[in-house]
Amino acid sequence: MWIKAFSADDQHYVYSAWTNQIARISARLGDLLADQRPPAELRQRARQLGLLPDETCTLAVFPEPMIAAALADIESNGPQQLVLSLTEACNFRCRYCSYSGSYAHSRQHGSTSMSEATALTALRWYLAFPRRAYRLGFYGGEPLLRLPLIETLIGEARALLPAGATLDLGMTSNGWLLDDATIAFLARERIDLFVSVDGPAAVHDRYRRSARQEATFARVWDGLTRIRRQHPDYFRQHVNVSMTLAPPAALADIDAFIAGHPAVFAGKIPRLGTLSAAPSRLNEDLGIGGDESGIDLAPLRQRYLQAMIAGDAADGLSRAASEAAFASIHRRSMRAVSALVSSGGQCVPGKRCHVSVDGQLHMCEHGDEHLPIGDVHHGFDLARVRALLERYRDFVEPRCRDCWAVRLCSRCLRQLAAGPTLSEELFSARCAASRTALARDLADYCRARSRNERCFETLAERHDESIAP
Amino acid sequence: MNEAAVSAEEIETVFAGTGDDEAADKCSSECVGGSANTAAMHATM
Repeated sequence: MWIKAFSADDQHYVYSAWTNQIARISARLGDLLADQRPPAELRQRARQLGLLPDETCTLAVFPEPMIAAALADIESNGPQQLVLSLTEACNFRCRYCSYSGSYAHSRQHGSTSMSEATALTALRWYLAFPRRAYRLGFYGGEPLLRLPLIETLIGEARALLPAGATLDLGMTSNGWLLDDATIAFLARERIDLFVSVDGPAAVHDRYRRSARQEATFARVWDGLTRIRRQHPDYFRQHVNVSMTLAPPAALADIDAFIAGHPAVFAGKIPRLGTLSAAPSRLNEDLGIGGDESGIDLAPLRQRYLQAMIAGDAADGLSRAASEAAFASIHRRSMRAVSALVSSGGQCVPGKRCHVSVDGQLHMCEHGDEHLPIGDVHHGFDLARVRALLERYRDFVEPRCRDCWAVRLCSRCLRQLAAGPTLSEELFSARCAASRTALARDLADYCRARSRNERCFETLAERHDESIAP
Repeated sequence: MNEAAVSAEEIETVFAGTGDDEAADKCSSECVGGSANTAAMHATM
Protein backbone atom coordinates (compact mmCIF):
# COMPACT_ATOMS: atom_id res chain seq x y z
CA MET A 1 0.00 0.00 0.00
CA TRP A 2 1.55 3.27 -1.12
CA ILE A 3 0.25 5.34 1.78
CA LYS A 4 1.42 5.72 5.35
CA ALA A 5 -0.56 7.40 8.12
CA PHE A 6 1.42 8.74 11.04
CA SER A 7 1.19 11.32 13.77
CA ALA A 8 3.49 13.94 15.23
CA ASP A 9 2.68 15.77 18.44
CA ASP A 10 -1.11 15.96 18.34
CA GLN A 11 -1.34 16.24 14.56
CA HIS A 12 -2.20 13.44 12.13
CA TYR A 13 -0.64 13.08 8.69
CA VAL A 14 -0.62 10.77 5.71
CA TYR A 15 2.15 10.32 3.17
CA SER A 16 1.38 9.13 -0.36
CA ALA A 17 4.12 7.48 -2.38
CA TRP A 18 2.06 8.13 -5.53
CA THR A 19 2.17 11.93 -5.21
CA ASN A 20 5.06 12.08 -2.70
CA GLN A 21 2.84 14.53 -0.83
CA ILE A 22 2.30 14.83 2.88
CA ALA A 23 -1.19 15.80 4.02
CA ARG A 24 -2.45 16.88 7.39
CA ILE A 25 -5.60 14.93 8.22
CA SER A 26 -8.24 14.82 10.89
CA ALA A 27 -7.89 12.40 13.77
CA ARG A 28 -10.84 10.50 12.35
CA LEU A 29 -9.10 10.05 9.00
CA GLY A 30 -5.93 9.09 10.82
CA ASP A 31 -7.84 6.23 12.33
CA LEU A 32 -9.51 5.26 9.06
CA LEU A 33 -6.16 5.22 7.25
CA ALA A 34 -4.22 3.36 9.93
CA ASP A 35 -1.96 0.47 8.90
CA GLN A 36 -4.17 -2.05 10.67
CA ARG A 37 -7.17 -1.42 8.42
CA PRO A 38 -7.95 -4.04 5.74
CA PRO A 39 -6.02 -3.23 2.53
CA ALA A 40 -9.11 -3.08 0.29
CA GLU A 41 -10.77 -0.61 2.65
CA LEU A 42 -7.61 1.49 2.89
CA ARG A 43 -7.17 1.55 -0.85
CA GLN A 44 -10.75 2.67 -1.44
CA ARG A 45 -10.52 5.51 1.07
CA ALA A 46 -7.12 6.60 -0.20
CA ARG A 47 -8.53 6.83 -3.74
CA GLN A 48 -11.50 8.86 -2.57
CA LEU A 49 -9.10 11.28 -0.91
CA GLY A 50 -6.81 11.53 -3.94
CA LEU A 51 -3.97 9.79 -2.13
CA LEU A 52 -3.85 6.90 -4.60
CA PRO A 53 -4.68 6.77 -8.32
CA ASP A 54 -7.47 4.66 -9.76
CA GLU A 55 -4.98 2.38 -11.45
CA THR A 56 -2.71 0.02 -9.53
CA CYS A 57 0.70 1.50 -8.73
CA THR A 58 3.63 -0.43 -10.16
CA LEU A 59 7.36 -0.56 -9.53
CA ALA A 60 10.04 -1.30 -12.13
CA VAL A 61 13.54 -1.63 -10.67
CA PHE A 62 16.34 -1.42 -13.21
CA PRO A 63 14.12 -2.35 -16.18
CA GLU A 64 15.91 -3.29 -19.37
CA PRO A 65 16.29 0.26 -20.78
CA MET A 66 17.82 1.40 -17.48
CA ILE A 67 20.26 -1.52 -17.46
CA ALA A 68 21.18 -0.86 -21.09
CA ALA A 69 21.80 2.82 -20.32
CA ALA A 70 23.88 1.92 -17.27
CA LEU A 71 26.05 -0.48 -19.23
CA ALA A 72 26.50 2.02 -22.05
CA ASP A 73 27.48 4.68 -19.52
CA ILE A 74 30.21 2.71 -17.78
CA GLU A 75 31.45 1.30 -21.07
CA SER A 76 31.82 4.76 -22.57
CA ASN A 77 32.63 6.97 -19.59
CA GLY A 78 34.17 4.62 -17.07
CA PRO A 79 34.09 5.18 -13.32
CA GLN A 80 33.36 8.54 -11.71
CA GLN A 81 35.86 7.47 -9.12
CA LEU A 82 38.53 4.80 -8.94
CA VAL A 83 39.45 3.54 -5.49
CA LEU A 84 42.63 1.51 -5.20
CA SER A 85 43.14 -0.81 -2.25
CA LEU A 86 46.91 -0.57 -2.24
CA THR A 87 47.40 -3.12 0.50
CA GLU A 88 45.46 -5.40 2.79
CA ALA A 89 48.08 -4.79 5.45
CA CYS A 90 47.28 -2.49 8.33
CA ASN A 91 49.34 -1.34 11.27
CA PHE A 92 46.16 -1.11 13.38
CA ARG A 93 43.96 -3.85 14.75
CA CYS A 94 40.76 -1.96 15.50
CA ARG A 95 38.57 -4.42 17.28
CA TYR A 96 35.43 -3.50 15.33
CA CYS A 97 37.07 -3.47 11.91
CA SER A 98 35.34 -5.28 9.04
CA TYR A 99 38.60 -7.13 8.54
CA SER A 100 39.00 -8.09 12.20
CA GLY A 101 37.81 -11.62 11.59
CA SER A 102 34.54 -10.99 13.41
CA TYR A 103 32.50 -10.91 10.22
CA ALA A 104 31.21 -14.01 8.48
CA HIS A 105 31.77 -12.93 4.89
CA SER A 106 34.62 -10.45 5.03
CA ARG A 107 38.31 -11.01 4.48
CA GLN A 108 40.65 -10.78 7.44
CA HIS A 109 43.75 -8.64 7.83
CA GLY A 110 46.36 -9.83 5.41
CA SER A 111 49.78 -8.90 4.16
CA THR A 112 48.97 -8.93 0.44
CA SER A 113 49.64 -5.71 -1.40
CA MET A 114 48.85 -4.43 -4.87
CA SER A 115 51.79 -4.66 -7.23
CA GLU A 116 52.97 -1.47 -8.92
CA ALA A 117 52.18 -3.06 -12.27
CA THR A 118 48.59 -3.77 -11.26
CA ALA A 119 48.15 -0.26 -9.84
CA LEU A 120 49.52 1.36 -12.99
CA THR A 121 47.38 -0.85 -15.21
CA ALA A 122 44.31 0.19 -13.23
CA LEU A 123 45.25 3.85 -13.45
CA ARG A 124 45.91 3.76 -17.19
CA TRP A 125 42.65 1.92 -17.80
CA TYR A 126 40.79 4.62 -15.88
CA LEU A 127 42.51 7.56 -17.51
CA ALA A 128 41.83 6.16 -20.98
CA PHE A 129 38.13 6.92 -20.51
CA PRO A 130 37.25 10.33 -21.96
CA ARG A 131 36.25 12.23 -18.84
CA ARG A 132 36.45 15.86 -17.77
CA ALA A 133 36.84 14.94 -14.11
CA TYR A 134 38.72 12.05 -12.56
CA ARG A 135 38.77 11.08 -8.94
CA LEU A 136 41.35 8.71 -7.56
CA GLY A 137 41.12 7.28 -4.08
CA PHE A 138 43.69 5.39 -2.02
CA TYR A 139 42.42 2.81 0.37
CA GLY A 140 43.54 -0.26 2.22
CA GLY A 141 44.46 -1.67 4.70
CA GLU A 142 46.39 1.43 5.58
CA PRO A 143 47.24 3.25 2.35
CA LEU A 144 50.11 5.26 3.83
CA LEU A 145 52.03 1.97 4.17
CA ARG A 146 52.36 2.32 0.37
CA LEU A 147 53.41 5.97 0.22
CA PRO A 148 56.07 5.46 -2.51
CA LEU A 149 53.47 3.78 -4.73
CA ILE A 150 51.02 6.62 -4.07
CA GLU A 151 53.68 9.12 -5.16
CA THR A 152 54.31 7.10 -8.32
CA LEU A 153 50.61 6.85 -9.14
CA ILE A 154 49.95 10.55 -8.67
CA GLY A 155 52.93 11.41 -10.85
CA GLU A 156 51.72 9.04 -13.55
CA ALA A 157 48.16 10.33 -13.29
CA ARG A 158 49.25 13.94 -13.72
CA ALA A 159 51.38 12.96 -16.72
CA LEU A 160 48.55 11.06 -18.41
CA LEU A 161 45.70 13.38 -17.47
CA PRO A 162 43.88 14.51 -20.63
CA ALA A 163 44.18 18.22 -21.38
CA GLY A 164 41.56 20.25 -19.58
CA ALA A 165 40.54 17.43 -17.25
CA THR A 166 40.65 17.67 -13.47
CA LEU A 167 42.07 15.15 -11.01
CA ASP A 168 40.82 14.95 -7.42
CA LEU A 169 42.57 12.74 -4.91
CA GLY A 170 41.22 11.14 -1.75
CA MET A 171 42.42 8.91 1.04
CA THR A 172 41.23 7.38 4.29
CA SER A 173 43.98 6.81 6.83
CA ASN A 174 44.28 5.73 10.42
CA GLY A 175 46.68 8.67 10.88
CA TRP A 176 49.55 6.73 12.45
CA LEU A 177 52.11 7.57 9.76
CA LEU A 178 51.64 11.32 9.56
CA ASP A 179 55.25 12.47 9.82
CA ASP A 180 56.11 15.95 8.59
CA ALA A 181 57.34 14.80 5.19
CA THR A 182 54.16 12.80 4.57
CA ILE A 183 52.04 15.72 5.68
CA ALA A 184 53.90 18.03 3.30
CA PHE A 185 53.25 15.59 0.46
CA LEU A 186 49.54 15.28 1.26
CA ALA A 187 49.21 19.06 1.44
CA ARG A 188 51.17 19.62 -1.76
CA GLU A 189 48.96 17.19 -3.66
CA ARG A 190 45.78 18.53 -2.02
CA ILE A 191 44.65 15.00 -1.14
CA ASP A 192 41.23 14.90 0.52
CA LEU A 193 42.09 13.14 3.73
CA PHE A 194 39.86 11.42 6.25
CA VAL A 195 41.65 10.55 9.47
CA SER A 196 39.89 8.13 11.80
CA VAL A 197 39.38 9.64 15.25
CA ASP A 198 36.54 8.19 17.32
CA GLY A 199 36.58 10.80 20.09
CA PRO A 200 38.81 11.60 23.05
CA ALA A 201 41.52 9.16 24.05
CA ALA A 202 39.30 7.19 26.42
CA VAL A 203 36.78 6.60 23.61
CA HIS A 204 39.16 6.26 20.68
CA ASP A 205 41.55 3.86 22.42
CA ARG A 206 38.79 1.46 23.47
CA TYR A 207 38.86 -0.18 20.06
CA ARG A 208 41.45 1.56 17.90
CA ARG A 209 44.65 -0.24 18.84
CA SER A 210 47.87 -0.68 16.92
CA ALA A 211 48.93 -4.08 15.67
CA ARG A 212 51.05 -4.25 18.82
CA GLN A 213 47.98 -3.38 20.89
CA GLU A 214 49.23 0.11 21.72
CA ALA A 215 46.82 2.95 22.36
CA THR A 216 46.77 5.09 19.22
CA PHE A 217 44.98 8.34 20.05
CA ALA A 218 47.93 10.45 21.16
CA ARG A 219 49.99 9.85 18.05
CA VAL A 220 47.06 10.19 15.62
CA TRP A 221 45.89 13.41 17.27
CA ASP A 222 49.39 14.80 17.16
CA GLY A 223 49.56 14.11 13.44
CA LEU A 224 46.18 15.65 12.77
CA THR A 225 46.95 18.81 14.72
CA ARG A 226 50.34 19.14 13.03
CA ILE A 227 48.59 19.16 9.65
CA ARG A 228 46.48 22.05 10.90
CA ARG A 229 49.44 24.00 12.25
CA GLN A 230 51.75 23.42 9.31
CA HIS A 231 49.20 23.69 6.47
CA PRO A 232 46.15 25.55 7.75
CA ASP A 233 44.58 26.17 4.33
CA TYR A 234 44.99 22.54 3.33
CA PHE A 235 43.57 21.41 6.66
CA ARG A 236 40.57 23.69 6.35
CA GLN A 237 39.73 22.68 2.81
CA HIS A 238 40.75 19.04 2.51
CA VAL A 239 41.08 17.32 5.88
CA ASN A 240 38.29 15.81 7.90
CA VAL A 241 37.69 13.25 10.60
CA SER A 242 36.06 9.87 10.17
CA MET A 243 34.36 8.83 13.38
CA THR A 244 32.97 5.40 14.19
CA LEU A 245 30.28 5.53 16.85
CA ALA A 246 30.62 2.24 18.65
CA PRO A 247 28.84 1.08 21.76
CA PRO A 248 28.79 1.58 24.64
CA ALA A 249 27.58 5.03 23.66
CA ALA A 250 29.79 7.96 24.62
CA LEU A 251 28.05 10.85 22.88
CA ALA A 252 28.54 13.24 25.80
CA ASP A 253 32.29 12.56 25.83
CA ILE A 254 32.49 12.97 22.05
CA ASP A 255 30.48 16.20 22.22
CA ALA A 256 32.78 17.61 24.89
CA PHE A 257 35.83 16.58 22.90
CA ILE A 258 34.59 18.34 19.77
CA ALA A 259 33.56 21.44 21.69
CA GLY A 260 36.96 21.52 23.35
CA HIS A 261 38.83 21.56 20.03
CA PRO A 262 37.18 24.19 17.85
CA ALA A 263 40.39 24.78 15.91
CA VAL A 264 40.13 21.24 14.56
CA PHE A 265 36.39 20.74 14.26
CA ALA A 266 35.00 24.18 13.43
CA GLY A 267 33.30 24.06 10.04
CA LYS A 268 33.73 20.29 9.74
CA ILE A 269 30.98 17.76 9.42
CA PRO A 270 32.67 14.57 10.54
CA ARG A 271 31.99 11.42 8.60
CA LEU A 272 30.07 9.18 10.96
CA GLY A 273 29.87 5.45 10.83
CA THR A 274 28.36 2.82 13.02
CA LEU A 275 29.22 -0.82 13.33
CA SER A 276 28.33 -2.99 10.39
CA ALA A 277 25.02 -4.83 10.39
CA ALA A 278 26.57 -7.68 8.42
CA PRO A 279 26.48 -11.14 10.00
CA SER A 280 29.19 -11.24 12.65
CA ARG A 281 30.17 -12.27 16.12
CA LEU A 282 31.29 -8.71 16.75
CA ASN A 283 29.19 -8.08 19.85
CA GLU A 284 30.57 -11.22 21.40
CA ASP A 285 34.13 -10.21 20.51
CA LEU A 286 33.67 -6.73 21.95
CA GLY A 287 31.88 -8.00 25.02
CA ILE A 288 28.79 -5.95 24.14
CA GLY A 289 25.40 -7.13 25.33
CA GLY A 290 22.29 -7.08 23.15
CA ASP A 291 20.89 -3.93 24.72
CA GLU A 292 24.16 -2.09 24.14
CA SER A 293 24.71 -3.13 20.55
CA GLY A 294 23.29 0.01 18.94
CA ILE A 295 23.95 3.70 19.39
CA ASP A 296 20.91 5.84 20.08
CA LEU A 297 21.42 8.92 17.94
CA ALA A 298 18.16 10.50 19.12
CA PRO A 299 19.92 13.17 21.22
CA LEU A 300 21.84 14.33 18.14
CA ARG A 301 18.69 14.33 16.02
CA GLN A 302 16.80 16.36 18.59
CA ARG A 303 19.63 18.86 18.84
CA TYR A 304 19.72 19.17 15.07
CA LEU A 305 15.96 19.70 14.85
CA GLN A 306 15.97 22.26 17.63
CA ALA A 307 18.65 24.26 15.82
CA MET A 308 16.79 24.06 12.51
CA ILE A 309 13.47 25.10 14.07
CA ALA A 310 15.19 28.04 15.74
CA GLY A 311 16.82 29.03 12.44
CA ASP A 312 20.28 28.47 13.90
CA ALA A 313 23.26 26.67 12.38
CA ALA A 314 23.38 23.11 13.64
CA ASP A 315 26.68 21.76 14.92
CA GLY A 316 28.75 19.38 12.79
CA LEU A 317 28.13 16.22 14.80
CA SER A 318 24.36 16.57 14.86
CA ARG A 319 24.38 17.44 11.16
CA ALA A 320 26.44 14.36 10.41
CA ALA A 321 23.95 12.19 12.28
CA SER A 322 20.74 13.74 10.99
CA GLU A 323 20.91 15.90 7.93
CA ALA A 324 20.93 13.35 5.13
CA ALA A 325 17.61 11.86 6.23
CA PHE A 326 15.81 15.20 6.34
CA ALA A 327 17.44 16.41 3.14
CA SER A 328 16.18 13.32 1.37
CA ILE A 329 12.60 14.01 2.47
CA HIS A 330 12.85 17.75 1.87
CA ARG A 331 14.25 17.34 -1.63
CA ARG A 332 11.71 14.73 -2.68
CA SER A 333 10.12 15.17 -6.07
CA MET A 334 6.53 16.38 -6.14
CA ARG A 335 5.85 14.49 -9.35
CA ALA A 336 2.97 12.00 -9.12
CA VAL A 337 4.14 8.60 -10.37
CA SER A 338 1.91 5.55 -10.52
CA ALA A 339 4.38 3.52 -12.60
CA LEU A 340 7.61 4.08 -10.73
CA VAL A 341 10.89 3.33 -12.49
CA SER A 342 13.68 3.25 -9.94
CA SER A 343 17.24 2.25 -9.25
CA GLY A 344 16.04 1.29 -5.79
CA GLY A 345 19.19 2.83 -4.38
CA GLN A 346 21.54 0.49 -6.20
CA CYS A 347 24.40 2.31 -7.90
CA VAL A 348 25.44 1.57 -11.42
CA PRO A 349 28.14 -1.00 -10.63
CA GLY A 350 31.45 0.44 -11.71
CA LYS A 351 30.63 4.13 -11.23
CA ARG A 352 32.40 4.06 -7.90
CA CYS A 353 34.89 1.42 -8.88
CA HIS A 354 37.05 -0.30 -6.32
CA VAL A 355 40.18 -2.22 -7.32
CA SER A 356 41.23 -4.89 -4.84
CA VAL A 357 44.90 -5.79 -4.37
CA ASP A 358 44.65 -8.59 -6.94
CA GLY A 359 43.37 -6.22 -9.63
CA GLN A 360 39.74 -7.28 -9.54
CA LEU A 361 37.11 -4.56 -10.04
CA HIS A 362 34.25 -4.20 -7.55
CA MET A 363 31.24 -1.93 -7.00
CA CYS A 364 32.75 -0.15 -4.03
CA GLU A 365 35.28 -0.49 -1.25
CA HIS A 366 32.75 -1.43 1.41
CA GLY A 367 33.19 -5.17 1.41
CA ASP A 368 31.66 -6.48 -1.79
CA GLU A 369 34.56 -8.75 -2.67
CA HIS A 370 32.18 -11.59 -3.49
CA LEU A 371 30.57 -9.66 -6.34
CA PRO A 372 33.40 -8.73 -8.75
CA ILE A 373 32.59 -6.82 -11.95
CA GLY A 374 35.78 -7.25 -13.97
CA ASP A 375 39.53 -6.84 -13.67
CA VAL A 376 42.12 -4.24 -14.55
CA HIS A 377 43.42 -6.21 -17.53
CA HIS A 378 40.10 -6.72 -19.28
CA GLY A 379 38.04 -3.84 -17.86
CA PHE A 380 34.41 -4.19 -16.92
CA ASP A 381 32.76 -7.56 -17.39
CA LEU A 382 29.53 -6.11 -18.74
CA ALA A 383 27.75 -9.47 -18.75
CA ARG A 384 28.49 -9.79 -15.05
CA VAL A 385 27.32 -6.24 -14.33
CA ARG A 386 24.12 -6.99 -16.20
CA ALA A 387 23.63 -10.22 -14.28
CA LEU A 388 24.13 -8.41 -10.95
CA LEU A 389 21.57 -5.74 -11.81
CA GLU A 390 19.10 -8.39 -12.96
CA ARG A 391 19.61 -10.28 -9.69
CA TYR A 392 19.06 -7.07 -7.77
CA ARG A 393 15.91 -6.30 -9.75
CA ASP A 394 14.49 -9.80 -9.32
CA PHE A 395 15.16 -9.68 -5.60
CA VAL A 396 13.97 -6.17 -4.79
CA GLU A 397 11.07 -5.60 -7.16
CA PRO A 398 8.61 -8.14 -5.73
CA ARG A 399 9.56 -7.34 -2.15
CA CYS A 400 9.26 -3.55 -2.44
CA ARG A 401 6.53 -3.01 -5.02
CA ASP A 402 3.70 -2.52 -2.53
CA CYS A 403 5.61 -0.60 0.14
CA TRP A 404 4.79 2.99 1.12
CA ALA A 405 8.53 3.72 1.48
CA VAL A 406 9.32 2.83 -2.13
CA ARG A 407 10.31 6.41 -3.10
CA LEU A 408 12.27 7.20 0.05
CA CYS A 409 14.05 3.96 0.83
CA SER A 410 17.36 2.85 -0.61
CA ARG A 411 19.17 -0.50 -0.50
CA CYS A 412 21.98 -1.96 -2.57
CA LEU A 413 23.49 -5.31 -3.42
CA ARG A 414 26.28 -4.90 -0.92
CA GLN A 415 23.81 -4.35 1.90
CA LEU A 416 21.72 -7.36 0.91
CA ALA A 417 24.54 -9.81 0.17
CA ALA A 418 25.79 -12.38 2.62
CA GLY A 419 28.87 -13.46 0.72
CA PRO A 420 27.82 -14.11 -2.87
CA THR A 421 24.16 -14.73 -1.94
CA LEU A 422 21.37 -12.20 -1.56
CA SER A 423 19.96 -12.79 1.89
CA GLU A 424 16.27 -12.80 2.80
CA GLU A 425 17.29 -12.33 6.42
CA LEU A 426 19.41 -9.25 5.69
CA PHE A 427 16.68 -7.80 3.51
CA SER A 428 14.02 -8.30 6.19
CA ALA A 429 16.17 -6.73 8.88
CA ARG A 430 17.07 -3.78 6.69
CA CYS A 431 13.49 -3.33 5.50
CA ALA A 432 12.12 -3.26 9.04
CA ALA A 433 14.81 -0.85 10.22
CA SER A 434 14.37 1.36 7.19
CA ARG A 435 10.59 1.63 7.51
CA THR A 436 10.83 2.38 11.21
CA ALA A 437 13.46 5.05 10.57
CA LEU A 438 11.55 6.63 7.66
CA ALA A 439 8.29 6.78 9.64
CA ARG A 440 10.18 8.46 12.47
CA ASP A 441 11.89 10.83 10.03
CA LEU A 442 8.58 11.80 8.41
CA ALA A 443 7.06 12.51 11.81
CA ASP A 444 10.09 14.57 12.90
CA TYR A 445 10.06 16.41 9.58
CA CYS A 446 6.40 17.37 9.99
CA ARG A 447 6.87 18.28 13.64
CA ALA A 448 9.72 20.60 12.71
CA ARG A 449 7.98 22.23 9.75
CA SER A 450 4.79 22.71 11.73
CA ARG A 451 6.84 24.80 14.16
CA ASN A 452 8.85 26.61 11.52
CA GLU A 453 7.58 26.09 7.98
CA ARG A 454 10.92 27.20 6.47
CA CYS A 455 13.21 25.38 8.89
CA PHE A 456 14.75 23.11 6.21
CA GLU A 457 15.17 25.84 3.61
CA THR A 458 18.95 25.51 3.68
CA LEU A 459 18.58 21.87 2.58
CA ALA A 460 16.76 22.77 -0.61
CA GLU A 461 19.93 22.99 -2.67
CA ARG A 462 22.06 19.92 -3.16
CA HIS A 463 25.74 20.44 -2.40
CA ASP A 464 28.59 18.15 -1.53
CA GLU A 465 29.29 18.46 2.15
CA SER A 466 31.72 15.59 2.46
CA ILE A 467 34.48 18.09 2.98
CA ALA A 468 33.41 21.26 4.68
CA PRO A 469 34.57 24.40 2.88
CA MET B 1 -21.32 11.50 8.90
CA ASN B 2 -21.02 7.83 7.94
CA GLU B 3 -18.12 6.32 9.93
CA ALA B 4 -16.44 5.11 6.76
CA ALA B 5 -17.13 8.14 4.58
CA VAL B 6 -14.25 10.47 3.94
CA SER B 7 -14.34 14.17 3.26
CA ALA B 8 -11.94 16.44 1.42
CA GLU B 9 -12.39 18.95 4.21
CA GLU B 10 -10.50 16.65 6.51
CA ILE B 11 -7.32 16.67 4.43
CA GLU B 12 -4.88 19.45 3.61
CA THR B 13 -1.65 19.04 1.67
CA VAL B 14 1.32 20.42 3.58
CA PHE B 15 5.11 20.57 3.59
CA ALA B 16 5.91 20.21 -0.12
CA GLY B 17 9.25 18.83 -1.22
CA THR B 18 11.58 21.11 -3.13
CA GLY B 19 13.59 18.96 -5.49
CA ASP B 20 13.66 15.98 -7.78
CA ASP B 21 15.05 13.32 -5.47
CA GLU B 22 13.94 9.76 -5.83
CA ALA B 23 15.32 6.83 -3.86
CA ALA B 24 18.77 6.95 -5.28
CA ASP B 25 22.25 5.70 -5.06
CA LYS B 26 23.70 7.73 -2.23
CA CYS B 27 27.27 6.53 -2.52
CA SER B 28 28.63 7.25 -5.97
CA SER B 29 29.48 10.88 -5.34
CA GLU B 30 30.82 10.24 -1.87
CA CYS B 31 34.49 10.90 -1.22
CA VAL B 32 36.77 8.02 -0.46
CA GLY B 33 36.34 7.47 3.18
CA GLY B 34 33.90 5.50 5.16
CA SER B 35 36.68 3.20 6.24
CA ALA B 36 36.01 -0.50 6.26
CA ASN B 37 34.60 -0.40 9.74
CA THR B 38 31.83 1.96 8.67
CA ALA B 39 30.26 -0.36 6.17
CA ALA B 40 26.79 0.11 7.59
CA MET B 41 26.74 3.87 7.75
CA HIS B 42 23.99 4.20 5.21
CA ALA B 43 22.01 1.42 6.81
CA THR B 44 21.84 3.06 10.16
CA MET B 45 21.98 6.80 9.72
